[in-house]
Amino acid sequence: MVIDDILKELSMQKKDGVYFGPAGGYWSNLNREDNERFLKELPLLGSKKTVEKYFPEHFDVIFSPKRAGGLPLLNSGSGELIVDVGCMWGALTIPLARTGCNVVAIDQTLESILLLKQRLMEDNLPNVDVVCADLKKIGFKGSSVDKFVINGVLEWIPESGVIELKKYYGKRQGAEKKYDKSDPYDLQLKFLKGIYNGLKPDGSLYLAIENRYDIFNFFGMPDPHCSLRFITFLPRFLQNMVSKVFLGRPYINWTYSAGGLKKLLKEAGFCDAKISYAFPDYRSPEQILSKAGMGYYRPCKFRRAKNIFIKVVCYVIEDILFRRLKLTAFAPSFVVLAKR
Amino acid sequence: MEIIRNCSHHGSTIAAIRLDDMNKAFRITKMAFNEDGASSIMREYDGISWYEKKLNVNNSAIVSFAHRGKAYASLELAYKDGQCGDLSRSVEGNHARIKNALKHHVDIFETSSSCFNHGDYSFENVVFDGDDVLWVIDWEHFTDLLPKGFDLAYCIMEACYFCLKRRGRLTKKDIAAAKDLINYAETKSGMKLIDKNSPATFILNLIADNQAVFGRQVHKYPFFNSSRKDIDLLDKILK
Repeated sequence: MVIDDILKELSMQKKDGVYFGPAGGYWSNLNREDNERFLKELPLLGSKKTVEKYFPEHFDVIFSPKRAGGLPLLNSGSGELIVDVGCMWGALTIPLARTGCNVVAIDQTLESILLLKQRLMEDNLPNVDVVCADLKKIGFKGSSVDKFVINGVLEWIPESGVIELKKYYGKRQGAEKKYDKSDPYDLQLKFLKGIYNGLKPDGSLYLAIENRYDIFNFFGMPDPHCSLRFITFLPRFLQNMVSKVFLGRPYINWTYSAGGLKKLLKEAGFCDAKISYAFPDYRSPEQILSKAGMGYYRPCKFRRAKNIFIKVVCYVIEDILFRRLKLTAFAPSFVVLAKR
Repeated sequence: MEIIRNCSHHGSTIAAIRLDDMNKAFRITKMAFNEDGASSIMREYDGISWYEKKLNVNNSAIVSFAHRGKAYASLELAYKDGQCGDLSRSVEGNHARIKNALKHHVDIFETSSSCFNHGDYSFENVVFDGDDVLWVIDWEHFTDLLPKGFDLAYCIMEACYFCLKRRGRLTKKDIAAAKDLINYAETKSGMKLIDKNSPATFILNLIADNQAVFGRQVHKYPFFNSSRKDIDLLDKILK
């Protein structure tokens, strides 16, 4: 059994096909009460129809094939053991499972996991084990995993408690806003060290995260984690000050520059971190290019802008900064492949 | 590996390029993790295999092919270093290359006893070395369900359509070049390819009648997307 091979918590309980590890908090785009209504109908209507009925705005986030755009970089093969840490609804878990890998999908939010279970059943993918556990508390056995996938998770590691994104986003009050009081860097480092220890000697890590110096942040695009503008690129002490004024707590969703991310990974033990740049973002990337491949870059973010003025501004920025000058330091986000 | 395209044209395949030590492309990989995309890749594999057999090539361009069930496929190909046809040029400017593309098609397809079409024989999908055809790419619509000669008619009419859309007009020389290409393709293939009274409408109807063959990607075909005004104008010019 795959789970026993890789996780330290051998005594985990299994109920309805889900393994339960150390309990964590809640993180979802959906409120708990909405999720409850949704889950009641899920077995009757099936995943697609239920999502269409209750959360049509999230349909693409859950089902779009675009979400798997970075997976060719992982070069996964049949029979490999891959752990998707923070899998949520399975945007990457399901494409990975389709390649024939053995996948362990871990998330702290049971409601998200139940939707993933339903999708796995509909797609007839028995090669996935699903674990509901706190990502910070779960322990991996030494050198047991071929590949880890951490897609949009690292920056959330310093959070804890309940995050219902609709209530949480950019609000000082109205949601329970717990966070771990330790230094965010230390928490992220500890998390990555745990991942490092779980990897086989020739294993690799796929990590996707926003760039702290995304050019569009300088033009007022809100930070996707706390919704404040002009904050990500500030020095850490200023980030804390601004966040305390507007949100009543320090800034904890730390993102990094390419150099900062490499340093963090090196400190966690990874020896070779290759950075690629994802455009227009890593969630639904249209292009993921290395520095050497920037000659293939074509402006793409402007297509997602809602009005013509923003479209033109986006196009000009993308064309000059990325296509002509190839300034990857200001790319929107990173996809990193790091070797043990 | 460079992911250069993720699910464009309403399709669901990921296209990636591998660079060598000199940063030159040497492999192209197509991958899909869903049914639509995997089916396209499997069709492309069939198309290239068939094409290579007809060309009698020694070194296959197919480096690797893998698929699993209906919802995952991956195809790695050798990168063909040449120039793709450029539809922003005039029909007259492209005349020699289009003629060679048509000749190549007749040599490959029309000798076949079965009724195969590339399905997207756009001038942009033909790779040239100078004016000579080096290779044909993008075989994801390879099919035996379209009428024989569809590719030839489509290739000529698409070149006219883009000349009209991108350059705003077809000159007398362009019109003469287009008519010459139609005559050439019909003579060479020994088939009547197009209704010369309304050639654009003819192609539009062919695509519309065979929507099932193109699937969701039918919307990428310029004729299918264009306004009635453009189609009528092309019919009038080329009549």
